[in-house]
Amino acid sequence: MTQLGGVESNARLPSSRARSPLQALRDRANTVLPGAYAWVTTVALPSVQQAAPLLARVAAFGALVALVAAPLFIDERPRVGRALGVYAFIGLSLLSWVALGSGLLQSRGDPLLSALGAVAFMLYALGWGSLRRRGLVPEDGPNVIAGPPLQPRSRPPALVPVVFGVIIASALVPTFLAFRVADMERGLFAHAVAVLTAILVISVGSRAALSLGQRRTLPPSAERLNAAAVPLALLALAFGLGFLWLVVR
Amino acid sequence: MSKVIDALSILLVLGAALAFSLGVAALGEHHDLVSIYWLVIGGLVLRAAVELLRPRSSSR
Repeated sequence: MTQLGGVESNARLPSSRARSPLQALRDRANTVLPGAYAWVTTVALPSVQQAAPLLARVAAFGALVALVAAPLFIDERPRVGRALGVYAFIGLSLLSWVALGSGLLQSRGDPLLSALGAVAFMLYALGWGSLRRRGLVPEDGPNVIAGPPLQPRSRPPALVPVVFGVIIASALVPTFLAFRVADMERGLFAHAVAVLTAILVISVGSRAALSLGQRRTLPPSAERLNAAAVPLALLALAFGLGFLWLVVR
Repeated sequence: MSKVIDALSILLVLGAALAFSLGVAALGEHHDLVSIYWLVIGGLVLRAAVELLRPRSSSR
């Protein structure tokens, strides 16, 4: 939250006072829309069951109020906005799930819907990152140093965003597959593995995608291949053992 | 040659994602040993990709 143009936690944006609530919601659509989808699919649907306790319903409604109210405060009172959008919304959603208890597990809905809800929560979290407001550019910041704009030394190839998108899509596949694990213990392990592997794949994949435009910083090819020799040899050994296992079984 | 290694590193990352996906899918079919096998494969593939992208310096 410290980048230029980002939503500072304790800074006020003077030009935002004239904005209407509708404009505030529109400008924060990157958080409101995924948050609303996540709320509907993962909080509201389990909470409207007949067996759902009152606390779960109240907490779910409170989460919705916090979600909608957060953008209205984010400019005038950023701390309040963040407290509502991050802590109140997530906390009340958690409270609703806790109040549902075993009812949440018994009312397993569509796995695809749950998976999309999880992705929506991820987008909601990303939306609360340092995204600059519409129409605001970093050069308008009060602490910017005047001078000619710094030009990038090189531009990444056009292929980089495509590669990065494919890598992100492939990293999310285990997250979707984890929702197909019906067994409770295995399902929990599958979700943990899916989250961990998604983080690892996106972390390494983003570096791989960006390296397409930064060859000068990398060592010679032979050194790179030599460095990967050990894991590649272990990989060949593992494939060999797997093949042997298939033959013997 | 550098382009080939860059492409290889990206393929390894995608291969790791595929192996992790197979591991999670095997969990759903109650094939625990197969799942562990694919998760280990995915870890090794990802490790190879990391080494291609950021090889440890030999001057240390």
